[in-house]
Amino acid sequence: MKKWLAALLMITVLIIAGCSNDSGGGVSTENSTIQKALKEKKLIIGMSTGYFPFDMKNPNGDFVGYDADTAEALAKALGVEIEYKQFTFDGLIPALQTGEVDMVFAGMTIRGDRALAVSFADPYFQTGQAVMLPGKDTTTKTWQDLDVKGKKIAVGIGTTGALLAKDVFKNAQVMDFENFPDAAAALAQGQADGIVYDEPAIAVWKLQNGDKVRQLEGLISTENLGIALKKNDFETIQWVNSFLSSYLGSPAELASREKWFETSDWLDEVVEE
Amino acid sequence: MYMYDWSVIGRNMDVFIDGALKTLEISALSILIAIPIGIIFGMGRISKNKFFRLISSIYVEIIRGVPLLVLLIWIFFVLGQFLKLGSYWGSIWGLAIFAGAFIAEIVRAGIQGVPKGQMEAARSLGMTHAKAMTHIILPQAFRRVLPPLASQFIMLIKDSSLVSVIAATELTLNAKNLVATSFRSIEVWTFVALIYFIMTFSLSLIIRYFEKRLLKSEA
Repeated sequence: MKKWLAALLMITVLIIAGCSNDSGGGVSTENSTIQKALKEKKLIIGMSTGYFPFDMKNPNGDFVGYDADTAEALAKALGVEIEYKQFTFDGLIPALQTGEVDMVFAGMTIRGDRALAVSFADPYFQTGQAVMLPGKDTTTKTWQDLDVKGKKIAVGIGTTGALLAKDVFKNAQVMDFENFPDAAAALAQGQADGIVYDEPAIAVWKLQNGDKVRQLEGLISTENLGIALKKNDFETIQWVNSFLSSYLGSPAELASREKWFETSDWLDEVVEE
Repeated sequence: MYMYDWSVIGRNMDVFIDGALKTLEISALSILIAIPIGIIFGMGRISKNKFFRLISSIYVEIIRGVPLLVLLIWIFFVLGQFLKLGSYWGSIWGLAIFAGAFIAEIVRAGIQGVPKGQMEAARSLGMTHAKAMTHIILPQAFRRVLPPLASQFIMLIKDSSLVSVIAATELTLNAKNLVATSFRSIEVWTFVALIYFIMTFSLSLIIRYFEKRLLKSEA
């Protein structure tokens, strides 16, 4: 028995030691994401899907949405190609930490705890957490009305909505789903009584589903979304900030914003009927 | 680039322990439901009744042909509409229905593994078919199915990690949530793997002990 355990421990230690070898610390500009992307002519973007209208896939399997527009503008400014890698939302920060991806465009809320693990560029969008209810629930007036024992609040695992819901709901039970559509499906079937999620996603869902769902007026919180970058990669952070300064408010960005947030024509593009 | 910080494990030990206990609870309840399901459909597979045999074969073949992940999502989102199972019972029934099909095959093989002469001898002594089954065949089959049944339980503990997709709280979901707040994915998942291994390995040691005793009592 003891020999077994010793062998197991040894293997674990070896694996961990092996991993740390290529993780030499220090920040030099040669290793920055920007330099690497310029050299390889390729930028690897981590994204998750199901986050309307930021991150979606069209029937061809291409990423589309406000984030994809921003990523493409960024890659164009840099003069490189984009390669997308898809993760679930809770897998994005680990993917960035381990170097699987170069940047994360996922409508990610800038938070202090996340900023200990990765670095954020300046905010590129402001939004907040809203509450979605089944259409037939006409009595709930505020989110506090939902905070009753026996009520279930569906959230997307690892999202700000999930963290917020677990913080503010003291009596209701919070259920973690893989993504927003799964949470919305649970709501539609009466397996959940409400959803806490980013306002734009709820607004789009409401566009698609009409009276079947209801959005509670007002926001629980206001948030700034940011592009997540490797921790302390200062050259990249600075460059992305400069890019955002020129991109936000440009005709291309205004057109993208209008397309994804003010019209619903694109729903046919991403949703298969 | 990635700086290890194993302190996340110690600080959140309660999260791991709660999760592991929930995993054991869900697995144990599922196997308790799966065993009767498996016995019924396993006997059904070799039943003389054509209808019973057909139903059992359909159940076993369909469940063995559908991935557990898909089955769980289907049970939760499709059956859930009518049954209102919720995450907890949805995952227990999902795992039970899944494991039941494999147990049915174990039971069938166990019964068929008892030499034909046993049944013939019992019948020639004047026992009815049912009596011979319950007194002669099943007790012998029972010994044969115990080891594979036990390993099915070990499989079930590992399979239960999938129920996190339908929002059922157990070790894997707790770990996902911890990663989402601590961003220590490598540390957390390494420890989670270790917990699963400890649970399954200690279980298989217990099973091995009982198997040895069973063999001795037979000799």
